[in-house]
Amino acid sequence: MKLEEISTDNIRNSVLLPFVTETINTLKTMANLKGTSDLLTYQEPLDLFAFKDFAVSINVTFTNGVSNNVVMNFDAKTAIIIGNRVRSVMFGTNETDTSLTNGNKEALAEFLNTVVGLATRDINETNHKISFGVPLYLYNKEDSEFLLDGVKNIMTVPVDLEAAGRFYLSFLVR
Amino acid sequence: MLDKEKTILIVDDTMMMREGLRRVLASMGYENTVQAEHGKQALKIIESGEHDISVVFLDIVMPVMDGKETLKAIRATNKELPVVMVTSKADKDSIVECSKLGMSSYVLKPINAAEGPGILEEIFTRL
Repeated sequence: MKLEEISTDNIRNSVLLPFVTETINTLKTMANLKGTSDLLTYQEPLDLFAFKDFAVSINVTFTNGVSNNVVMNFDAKTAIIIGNRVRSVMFGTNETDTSLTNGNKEALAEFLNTVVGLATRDINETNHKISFGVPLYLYNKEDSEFLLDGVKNIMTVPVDLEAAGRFYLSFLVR
Repeated sequence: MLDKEKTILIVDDTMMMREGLRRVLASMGYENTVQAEHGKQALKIIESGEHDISVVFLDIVMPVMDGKETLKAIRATNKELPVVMVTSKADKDSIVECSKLGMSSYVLKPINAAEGPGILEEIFTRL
C-alpha cells in the first residue's frame, strides 16, 4: 500500500475489518461464544482512548515505514469470560475463575494468537505490502502508555459478546 | 489402532495446549504421555530412549527449535517414528513443507475436548 493510498477507509477495510471478522469467527470456534459487530467505525478522541484491564497490540507497518498499531482492548469481566470459555471448550470442563489468572491469561493469549494469525494471513493474501509484528500482551496501564506516542488518529470498532459485555478493536494511526 | 499402553510425546511451547492434548488422549485411554516445551527438549527425550516414544505430536511454531527443524532432526535418524504435526489454520502452508520433510499426519489447533478424540482416533487408525 503506497503512502497516498493510506486513507481512513483503506485502513478500516484492509486492516481493521479482517481483525473484527476473525475475532468473531474465533470466538465461535475456540470459545463457543457469539460475537457480533455492526462494523460501525468511529473516530475515538485521543484524550478519551484508555487502556482497560487487558489488551493486545500488534504493530502494523505500511510501505511508508511508519509503525501503527491494532489494539484489542478488554475490560476484566469480558477477558475473564473469554478465558474461562476457551479453557472450558478445550478441556471439556466448566472453568469459573473470577480473575485474570495465569490460566486465563494463557487461554486469552492462545485465542488472540489465533485471531492475529488468521487476520494477518487474510490481509497478506490480498496485500503483501503490509507487515505485522508479534502480538504484545498488556496487563496494566503503565505498560500500555507507549501506545499513544505519536498517534494522530484512532479508529475503533466495538464487538459485542452475548451476555459477556463488549470489547474494542482500534487502529492507532501515526 | 495404536496400542493404549504406548507412550506419546506432546511437544508444544504452551502449557494449555499440552494439557489440552494430554486430557484428550487420556479420555481416549492413552494415559502414558510425556511433554516437551520445544524441539530440543523433545529430541533429548526421544534420543534417551527412556520412554520408548511411539508417536510424537509436534507443534510447528515454537521457540528454541521449531517443529520443522525438529521433524528434520527426527527423520535424519528415524524414518519410522510417527510424527503428527500440530498447526493452526493460519499456518496451513507449513503443512506442505512438513509433508516433504516426512510428517506422518497433521491436526489443526485447537484440539478440544468435544471433537479431539474423534479426530485423533481417525489419525491413529492411519499410523
